Amino acid sequence: MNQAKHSTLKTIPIAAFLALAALMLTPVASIGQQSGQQEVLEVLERTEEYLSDVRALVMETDSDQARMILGSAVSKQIQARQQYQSERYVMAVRLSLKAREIASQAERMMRSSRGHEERARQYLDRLHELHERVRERAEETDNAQAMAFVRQAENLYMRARQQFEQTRFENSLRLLQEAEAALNRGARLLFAAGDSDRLLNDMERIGQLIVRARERLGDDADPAIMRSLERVERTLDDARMAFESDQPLRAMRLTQRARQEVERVLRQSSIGLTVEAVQREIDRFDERQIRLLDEVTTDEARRQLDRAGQLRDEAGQVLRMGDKELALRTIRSALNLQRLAGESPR
Amino acid sequence: MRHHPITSATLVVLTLFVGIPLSPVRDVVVCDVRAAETPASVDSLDVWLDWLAAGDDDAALLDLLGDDPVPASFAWSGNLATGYDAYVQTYSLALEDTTESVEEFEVTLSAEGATQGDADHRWRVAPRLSVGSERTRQQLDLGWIWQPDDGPRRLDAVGEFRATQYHGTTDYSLSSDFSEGRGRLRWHLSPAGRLGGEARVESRVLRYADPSELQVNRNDVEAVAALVSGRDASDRWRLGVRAGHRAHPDTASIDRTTLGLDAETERFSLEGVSWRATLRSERRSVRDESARPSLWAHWATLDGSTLLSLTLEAVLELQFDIWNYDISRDAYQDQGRWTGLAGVRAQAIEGPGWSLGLTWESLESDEADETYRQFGLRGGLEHYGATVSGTLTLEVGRRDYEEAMVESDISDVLLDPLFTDFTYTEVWLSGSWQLDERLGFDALASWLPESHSDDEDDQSLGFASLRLVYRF
Repeated sequence: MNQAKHSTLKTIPIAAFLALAALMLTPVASIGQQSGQQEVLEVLERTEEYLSDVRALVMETDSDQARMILGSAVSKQIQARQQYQSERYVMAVRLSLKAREIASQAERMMRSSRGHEERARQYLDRLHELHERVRERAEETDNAQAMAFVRQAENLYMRARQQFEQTRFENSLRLLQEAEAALNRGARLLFAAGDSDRLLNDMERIGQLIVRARERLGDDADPAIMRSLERVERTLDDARMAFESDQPLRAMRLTQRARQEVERVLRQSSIGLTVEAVQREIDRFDERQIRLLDEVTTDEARRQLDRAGQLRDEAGQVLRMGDKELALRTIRSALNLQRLAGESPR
Repeated sequence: MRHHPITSATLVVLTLFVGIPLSPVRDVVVCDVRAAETPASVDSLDVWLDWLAAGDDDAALLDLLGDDPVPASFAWSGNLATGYDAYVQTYSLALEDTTESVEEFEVTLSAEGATQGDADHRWRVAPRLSVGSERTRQQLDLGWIWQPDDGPRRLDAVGEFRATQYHGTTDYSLSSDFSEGRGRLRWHLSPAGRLGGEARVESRVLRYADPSELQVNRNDVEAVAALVSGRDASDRWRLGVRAGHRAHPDTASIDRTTLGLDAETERFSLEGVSWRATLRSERRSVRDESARPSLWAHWATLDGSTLLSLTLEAVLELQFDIWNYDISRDAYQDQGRWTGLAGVRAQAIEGPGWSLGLTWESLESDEADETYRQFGLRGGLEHYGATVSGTLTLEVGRRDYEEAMVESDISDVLLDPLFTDFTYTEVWLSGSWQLDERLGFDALASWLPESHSDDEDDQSLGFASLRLVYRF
């Protein structure tokens, strides 16, 4: 099918316009003998040709709406033919042009829905699995707020599916996108709440950090630092209360805030990390590495020690560049791998 | 867009090795030693705790004590809900405004019975009956999970049945009664470590009382195998393959076989970048290509966010989907679509949160007049409270089609393009109001009016749902 036939004939064709004008200005009785009649017939035939092309296209896809609209276009054209048979040529041309308009709407509907159909079909499959996974995690962790998102997504999903079955693919797609957004909110909440255990773990560690920081700072610490620690403690208490009152999202965000604040306070305090302390950890690694390289016998343990050695070198480089925290993280990774290698069977 | 095997291979490689930097999928598959521990996976809280412990070798975190075992029981809960749904579409048909709508009142009674407490075998039964102005629906969901010693689940099975009977006066245009069944069995392999596995078989049957060209009976069967992150892994990921077959007892020509691959990885961080990436590639082979062509389809998404301050985070969402038919023809054209969102989101710690971002969408199609670019501005409000929760999203934008005017090869015809540029406004509202412990009110609504450069092409789509739910 060529491009022209694909395209809507919404602007009145010149021939049809001239025919219509001639018909309106000329007494009907005399038209039959004039060329206007032939032009009316041409308009009707062109419409039928267009309807035939659109029909082939529409029937190959699954848009019920496009089929219904095309049905009304065909019905208009039948009426146009009847008017032509009755020698009511003005009405015949008008009805035929209307049939074209309606058919072009059917074509537009069909072509829009075609892309929506394929996307919605894939979305339905994909979201079904995402829904199952998020629901399982919400159930396992007994997360009421996440379950509320899951239920909202379920409602939207069922409606989307029903709209798909009704071949209303655009509606279906938009409902699916909103269902996905609800599931993503739920999934994010589950992650943020860390399956509850993770969030509780974070709160526990922040609490430990505050206690230990107080111990290290001692009684003669900078009052501003101590006040900051108190603020962190209050934030952490709020987080715990939010968690206990079934508001995991708020609990997560308050925990996040407490975490960032406590790290900031520690960096500003006199007990912050020093280059010497990180270097001591690297030295500790080096001592153990020499001993373990002699002791381990399995290939896996050797691979672990090799990787730990690479991490140790990275830690040294990072430390020389001045990033003490990353250096400490890196050497800690190295030490953990080294410990794993040391625990492997000899 | 005729390079689907290359596209597929490229996307897989990108996902596994390049597209997801630091991907735990790549780590585990390629180098399990590296996956054991990386600096990125060392939590900064642990670093500080170690540091402050000052040489205390027992500085590791205290494990949370396990809860006391809870005796198993089977508990029931239920809902009685009444609601109203409406779908509305308006458009112009030959200069006449046309409105299509389906409105439905419905009363739904549902119950759910499930095993509570610690049990090796956990069961779930959920019947549901809806009676509405347009149709009557029944649904029964069954579930079984085997998780010995209250550990991770090893096996689970799901059975679902649903049936719908349309009333004689229904406004739904496709109104053949139908019933549908689904069964799934899934085996979880070694779920307690860092690396797990999953195998699944699934079957579906759909039967219409009065089948037609658009309501076709079908039988589906699918098998899926996947490597997944275990419970001890710090990040979640998944790499799976799938094979399926759809048979149509009344129209064998459109039977199809599907082979696919999916990958997914996500990392959530309280202090750094959080992201989630997914890829799904699929080959669909249709028995008779003259009835419907076979195709390759790919779908990739990437969502990321990072904190800019204590309450503000930057978000990026990208999505790409493409499908290539083996035989491209009028009704089946190759298409590729990009969508994206870049913006900021203020987290709701106290009061409502908000978001603001730029959206874009572009479609490349073998049909030149369908190709378009779209840009929009999206803002949102959200609030999650114990009594009232809700989200409101508003997007305003513009879509421009590449082809402004179609050249005609018919001399006496002036042609406008089938699709015309338009400005759109999209509103989404969802909310819930918990009136008391048992009674709640849910609302969902959306409205999408399009204002086209040619007024005759204006259209709008609307949806609304109101529901009063009593839980017992």
